[in-house]
Formats: sequence, C-alpha cells, structure tokens
Amino acid sequence: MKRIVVALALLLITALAAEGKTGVVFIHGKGGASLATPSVARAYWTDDMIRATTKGYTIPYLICSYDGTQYMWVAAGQVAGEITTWMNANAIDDIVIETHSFGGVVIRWMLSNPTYDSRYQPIINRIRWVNSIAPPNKGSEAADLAGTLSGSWLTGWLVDLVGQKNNSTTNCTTASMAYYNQYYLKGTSGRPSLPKTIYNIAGYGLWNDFAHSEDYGLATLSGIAGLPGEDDGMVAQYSAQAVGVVWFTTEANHHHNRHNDYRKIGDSLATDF
Amino acid sequence: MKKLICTLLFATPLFAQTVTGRFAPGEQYVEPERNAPAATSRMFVRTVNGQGIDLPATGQGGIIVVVNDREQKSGAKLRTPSGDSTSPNIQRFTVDAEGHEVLHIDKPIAGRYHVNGVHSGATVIAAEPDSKLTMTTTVGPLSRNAGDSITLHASLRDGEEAVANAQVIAHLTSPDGKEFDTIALRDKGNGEYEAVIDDVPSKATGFWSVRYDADGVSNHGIEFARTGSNQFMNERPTARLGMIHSKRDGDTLHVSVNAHVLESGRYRLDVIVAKRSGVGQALSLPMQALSLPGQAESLSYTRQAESLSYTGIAWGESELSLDAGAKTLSIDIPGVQENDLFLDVRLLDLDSMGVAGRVTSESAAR
Repeated sequence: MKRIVVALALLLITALAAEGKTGVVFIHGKGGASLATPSVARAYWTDDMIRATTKGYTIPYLICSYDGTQYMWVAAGQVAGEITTWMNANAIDDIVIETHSFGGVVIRWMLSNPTYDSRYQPIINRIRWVNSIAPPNKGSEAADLAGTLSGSWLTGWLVDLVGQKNNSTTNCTTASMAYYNQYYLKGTSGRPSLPKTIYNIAGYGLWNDFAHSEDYGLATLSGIAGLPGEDDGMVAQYSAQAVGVVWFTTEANHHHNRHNDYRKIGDSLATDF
Repeated sequence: MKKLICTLLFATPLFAQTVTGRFAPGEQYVEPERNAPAATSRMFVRTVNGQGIDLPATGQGGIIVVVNDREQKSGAKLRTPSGDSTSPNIQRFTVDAEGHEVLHIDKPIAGRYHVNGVHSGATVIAAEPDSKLTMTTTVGPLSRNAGDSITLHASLRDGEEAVANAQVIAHLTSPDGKEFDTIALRDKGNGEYEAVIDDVPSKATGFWSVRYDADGVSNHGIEFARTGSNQFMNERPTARLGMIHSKRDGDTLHVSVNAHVLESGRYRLDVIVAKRSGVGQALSLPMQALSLPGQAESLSYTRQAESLSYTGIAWGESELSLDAGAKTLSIDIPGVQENDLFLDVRLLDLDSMGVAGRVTSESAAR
C-alpha cells in the first residue's frame, strides 16, 4: 500500500512538472504611488511592449504593480506577493523577469536577500533569468539631483523625471546604492554573485523623438545632472552595466526603452521564448 | 553542564536561516568604500529674490537654463553679458505638455547672464555640461556611527588647474527633511576645500544629504558658481560587535563573533571569507577613491598608497532574531580549505536597514 502511495505521488509530481510552463513578469521602475494600480502599471509599459514581448500574448504574463515611491524592500514585498499568487494559480515554473529602471534594483533585492521573505526563495527557484533595462545599479546622478534641489521649488516635469525626494528616489542616489551594494545587494564587483543571471540593457540615446516633450526633458536632465559617460537621460551606462552580463545597448532613451516604439526592445525580449 | 548552559545562553538562536556560497574563482574581495561616491557638478542653482538673477557663465560650451517659476510656465527673459536680449544664440524648448520652457544658449560668452521676468522665489538652474570648471564633492564616512566625525570635501578644478580662494559652503539636510545652518569649508590649498564636523545637528538616523555651493573666480578671471550634493548614512546604534573567533573543522569554517545587542529585533550576520592575494595599489584615506565612474579622468589630488589585496573565497549569511544583551553569534561556512584567512564580519539590521556593526580579522582559522 505504502509503495502505491509513493508511486502515485511521484506520478503526480512528474505530471505537474510536465505541465509546468513558462511565464514572463514585468517589473516597472519608480514613480508615483499610483503605479500600484494595475492599469497605471500597464500604461507604464504600453500594450505594444507587452504584446511584442509575449509574442502576441501567447506567453502567460504578469505586470507587477507596486507603489513606486517606496524602498526596494517594500516594493519587493508587493512584487513577491503578486508573483507568488500568479505563478501558483497558473502553474508557472519557468519565469523570465523583465525590469525597467528601479525595477532592476527591486529584483536584485529579492535575489540578494532570499531569507528576508519566505516568498522569495520559491520565486528565485523558478526564475530562468532577468532582463534588466536601464537599471540604476550604481545609482543615478539624476536621483542625486533631488538632493541638490531639495528645498527648491520645482515644476512638474522636472519632478516627474527626477522624482520627489521620497524613499524610492533616496534609494536610487549614487550614495545610497554604493551603501546598499556593499552591504545588502549582491552582484557588483567584489561582492557575492547573484543566484540567477541578469542580462542588462543600457541606453545611450537622448534625442529619440522630437515630437515627445519627454525627450527634451531627458536631454535637459542629462545635462543638468551631469550623468557621466553615455546615458539614456536618467541612468548612465556604467551604472546599468555594473551588474550582470551586457546583453545589448540601445539608442532608446529612458522614456522609450520601456516601450516598443523607437527601438523594438519588446521584439528583442521576445526572443527568449 | 556549564558548557550546556553556555551553549543555551549564547549560541545563535534556533531557526536561523543560513545561506552560504563561494566567490567565483579569482574574484577580488572589495572592502566597503569609506566615503560617498564622488559627484562632479557643472551646474548651479539660484533662488530669485526680487528683480531677476545673475548667472555667471564660464563660456566653455553651451548653457542650459531651467526656470522653475510657480507663477508662470514660460516668459523668462535672458540678457547676455553684452546686454543683448534678442540673441539668436538663445533658444527656447518646451519640455512638457503644460508648456514649461528650458532655455539653451548655444555659444555663450564668459560673463554674467541675467534672467528677469520671473517671480520672487523661483528657482533657476544653470548647467554648463561641457565646461572644464568642475566641483567634485564627497562626504565621509558613508556609513557613519555615533562618535565618528564627518568630513565634507569639495575639489574645484578648471581643467587641470586647481581653483583657489573660492567660497564653498555646505548645508546638511536630515532624513526627515530639516535643513540646518550653513557650514563653511576651509580652503586647504590646491583647490581642496574641507570642513570636519564632530556630530550631526540632530539625532535623526538614515540618509543625510549634503548640498555644496561654491562661488569664485577662476585663475583666468572668470566668475563661476557650482552646486552639488552627496549623502551619508547616519547609522542607528542598535548593536556592537567585538572579537571574531574562527575554527576550521575539515573544510567547514566555524566563525563566531561577540555581540552586544542594544535593540532587540531582526538582524543578519554576514561573513565574507577572503585570502590575501598580494600587495596592490589602492587609494588612500581619508578622502579616497575619486576616480569618476564612466570617465577616464581621475583627480590629481588623490594619493596612491600601497594596500593589501584579497581574493574572495566564500561567504555566509545567517538571519537572526535577537534579544537585547550580550551574545555570541555564529555561522558555519562549508567548502573552506584555505589557511591564513581574512574575515569581514557584519551585523545588518533588517528592521530598519543599516549596518549595526562591522569587524574584520586577519589570519583567523587554521
């Protein structure tokens, strides 16, 4: 009898494994608290980016929606809850993670601190790899600007780009990231490696589309913030490439490199499936 | 019996979650940076009081002028040093759907530009992205514990030349957003400006911001202004670490450290095991590591000094729930066969992120 139970259990496990499937998770960057609303998070990426990445929605997907004003560990808690529910409900056992900007730091928190939250390790076990678009792995000089301009009155466009001096902006300064990289996060030079590979995509273009005022804003920000070397208006290439393997670089700026418009980044992400 | 009581009293709490791993072959162990990463500024910020504001320009490349006026989105007027308000070199760009404008001066001349047509209280940001006149700032220590003095440092350069006799001030802003009195940085010569303060002006813990403002005249008689910022972590005094003990049993390294926990809570004991790999070159204390990310340039005032270099061997992390009081924390790290080890032991606060303590030891286990 005992043998039959064991055999049945093994059969069930094998069947479940055979039925396991691949899914893709999108983790957005920092922004407002409204990014915790699914429709706002979806608009962040745009439908065309999601369609292209999922090959016409044929790959199961999850668009994470977390409060974009919070520290990485708070954001990671919200993201972990959403991924856990989704992967269990859909029997997903092979996850490719797509991140943009601060989303790359959020997933690094999770990968670097597997014991911090009991939901992290089961997720990590299922991750195939992470594609990280323009992650501020060593921080962003644009986030530093929030400290420089602290106390100054700023117009909406600059605040929209730089971010209010809130927790996620503080998290993204070059000093904060230097601190977190050497104590809490893995993957930078001289630190323990991450349990899964991160493929980074850094942007180097500014003037993508003269019809979009965002491009003028990013080009202005690049000049004011003094981003060193190549940058996408928000994150310098040295910072994006400080963790993981360089997949490719893109001329798309920080506004366009989360979309599938100026350069077809969604089409590139879809080659994973 | 005594051994049993000691074990029960001082051993690592049960149910600790431990993760261990090995460094990739040849991976260097990197000691935490003492100071905040150096930040280089080619911009400055001014607040308008009364009738307009002067913007000193070095004339080295284009200028971007951003006017943040809560009363109006556009309409700021810019006058060149020669008094021309209709110069074709001044262009306007709309940067958002609401019509906010940015001014761009293509071929500026050195001297004072003047912005008017803006309301009192407006903020004006002027950036010269291609200028050789830079202010590079840092603050240390990046991880600051109670009792540590804080060094505020700025370096002014016009290309390779040091810029002397400038006025450089700093403002500290606490993590809760409170701005404190101006601190003047002393001209130490060779373009270096520094102030050392014994304590922060409030007990607020977390990331403090330091804003630096410099005004001066270059060696070529050109007026300039620069604004920059850095941050440092004012640590919460939650625990102290003492002596490290280590012992190898086969290829398992047993590391323990004495700790005095001041605040009960959730912590993580991190241990990095490294081995000396030779004598290398490193930048010296106290103001170190000012080579700039993404740039080939490095600042000439940094001194090179010999230091030891280490190869990473293995690491271990053990999450702990600790009560206040003295205890011994320990962790076992498998797969360590090397002798003459260097240990970097940290106790990290997981309730409110911060470094509760860090100690190192050389030539530990055999």
